[in-house]
Amino acid sequence: MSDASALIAHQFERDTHAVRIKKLMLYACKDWWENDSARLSTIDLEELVDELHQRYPTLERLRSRLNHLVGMLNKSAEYQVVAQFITTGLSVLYVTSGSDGEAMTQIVNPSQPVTPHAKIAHLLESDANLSRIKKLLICVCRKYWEANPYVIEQTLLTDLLQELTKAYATLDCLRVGLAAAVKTLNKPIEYALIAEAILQVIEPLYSIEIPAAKPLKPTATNLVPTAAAYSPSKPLPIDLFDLRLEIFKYTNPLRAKILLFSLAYYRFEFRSQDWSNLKLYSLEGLLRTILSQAVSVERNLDRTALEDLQHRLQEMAQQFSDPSELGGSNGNEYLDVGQALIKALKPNYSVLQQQIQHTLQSGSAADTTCASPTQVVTQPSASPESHQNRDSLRADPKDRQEISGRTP
Amino acid sequence: MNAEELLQRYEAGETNFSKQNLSSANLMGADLIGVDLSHADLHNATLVLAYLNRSNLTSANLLGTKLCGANLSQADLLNANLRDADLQGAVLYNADLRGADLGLAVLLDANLIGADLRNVNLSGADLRGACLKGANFREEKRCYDGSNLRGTDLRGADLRGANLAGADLSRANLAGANLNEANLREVDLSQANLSETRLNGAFLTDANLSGANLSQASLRDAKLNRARLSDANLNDADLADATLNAVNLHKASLQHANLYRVRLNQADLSRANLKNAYLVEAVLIEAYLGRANLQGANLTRANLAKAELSSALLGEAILTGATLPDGSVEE
Repeated sequence: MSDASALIAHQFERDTHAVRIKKLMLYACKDWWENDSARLSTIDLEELVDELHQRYPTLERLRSRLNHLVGMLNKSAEYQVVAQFITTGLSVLYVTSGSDGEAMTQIVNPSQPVTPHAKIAHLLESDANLSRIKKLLICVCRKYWEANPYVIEQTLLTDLLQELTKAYATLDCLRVGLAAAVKTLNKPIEYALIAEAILQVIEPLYSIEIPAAKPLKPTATNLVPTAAAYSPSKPLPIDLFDLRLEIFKYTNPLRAKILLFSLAYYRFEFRSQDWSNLKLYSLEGLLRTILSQAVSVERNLDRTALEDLQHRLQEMAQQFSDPSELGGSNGNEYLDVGQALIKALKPNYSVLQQQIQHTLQSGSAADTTCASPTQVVTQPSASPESHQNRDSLRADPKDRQEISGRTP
Repeated sequence: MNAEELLQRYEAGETNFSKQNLSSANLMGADLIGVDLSHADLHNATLVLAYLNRSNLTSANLLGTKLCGANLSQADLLNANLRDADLQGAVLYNADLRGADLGLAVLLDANLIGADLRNVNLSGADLRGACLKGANFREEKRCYDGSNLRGTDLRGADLRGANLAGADLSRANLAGANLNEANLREVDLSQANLSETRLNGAFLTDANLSGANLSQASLRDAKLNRARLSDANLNDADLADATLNAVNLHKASLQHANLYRVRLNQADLSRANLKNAYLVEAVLIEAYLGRANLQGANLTRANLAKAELSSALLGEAILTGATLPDGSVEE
């Protein structure tokens, strides 16, 4: 046991967020917040790992407690990631204490839940944005905004999912419902992303054929011809490097981002707020969002997803121009940007779409595993001021939302 | 000099504005292709989406300058001060940035294809998603020190075929980045985050990777001779066909790693954790496996001739057809 703790402590120490990890673990163990770096450095991380493990008998309790504490911090978004990291790190301790023989398989794929609802709930529970997911689901199911972190914590995802499938008969109904709810919130961009993540994971609940027992392995085995016994523990993340390279070659990356952002979230107006929002998203994250949106619309319309995307890009580009202070001289730059994007997307579109669909079905959001929108969003902003803000406790959770309009 | 005057004189055909003071000027979207602003003071100026292709900005002061989406392709930025500059989505294609200071600069999704980045300082800079394909960071003895990328955020960056030989990337975050075929000889990647990083066919000879996180990284056919990997985390990494002769893997963790057909001759694997690793047809001649954990490892047809195996843990290891230290072949 102590070996494992040492390993975990070591892993934490090497993380870029080592200090935050320590702060949060200390808070969970001793119930006080320590900002003094000298005092922090005297505390042994391995002991904290052990203490945390002893104090919280199950992983669920640990997760719950950490999430509760994170909600009370002024940098809850940043610490959400840290909390997730701690629970993932410590999960090893909880698994090995159970059964020894199948320890590894359990870490990768903990106890398979039976019902489809439980399965989806299980997938959502591992998301770093669990509390936001719950809040949004409560909002669409019960038509009110829940801000009490304790109530959110205690609400079971399986219950919410049951309510959800009763309230919304089809995935499209749910999409409309989520979009309407998101519009009423004062953080529409953040929650639009959450809504998209929910839709991605939840999709199997609505598909006629639920891929339960059938393992999804179309070509994966053919890819590893020599190492028959060796198989990667998870599906390969979608590779968008070549797509990005094509975009970089033929257009201005900033304009490409502005256009994609406008398509995915709201029309970019070159206001300072828009600039800071844009910095939250990477080009890759925006492309993933657009691609998954294109997948979802395909089933509703006669034209193909690519044609639809092309149409929407053109439409957006047409009503777009750089503000007068930018000169906006040589006609509309954004029409060219839109064309460059389509040119880059066209040759690989069917492959990308298949990959996106595959990840949607298997429920493993590739986004959460590699450098991804979810990670980028919760990443502390790169502005130097934000680094100077001291972590401190606040009375109110940062994440509190106000419904500025009425839910339909 | 103010922005208006600069634009008027440029319009009239003048291009030499060397050493001019244009601090805090608003030159958003300005067309200044080929302008000479060497040694000019442009700190805190706004050059968002400006056209500065082939401009001369040698030793210019661009501290905190807003250059988002600016086109600086083939520009000269030698020894320029770009600290804290905002270069989100900027085009720096084939730009010359030798000796430039980009400490803490934002280069999110910037195009740095083919840029000359020798002796550059990028410590603490944000290069997430940037494209650095074929960029040159190479250390050259007596000319250029290795580039400084300490603690740089390079998540999801495209560094395919980039030359980073001798660069300092200690504690850099390269999670999900693409470094296929990159030259990383003698780089310092100690404590770096390389989880899920693609390093297929990369040259990591003599690199320092001690304490680095390489979990789930892909290192197929990579060259890692004499690399230092002590205390590194290589769990679930894919190292098929990689060359790791004389590598130091002391106390490294390689659980569930794919080591199919790797060469680990004379490697130090003392106290390494190779639990459930896939070592089929691996070559481990004269490897040192003192107290290494090989429980559940698959060593089918592996070559362990002259390897030190006496204190290794071999519970449930598969050794069918393997050549043992004494030269005998396991049935």
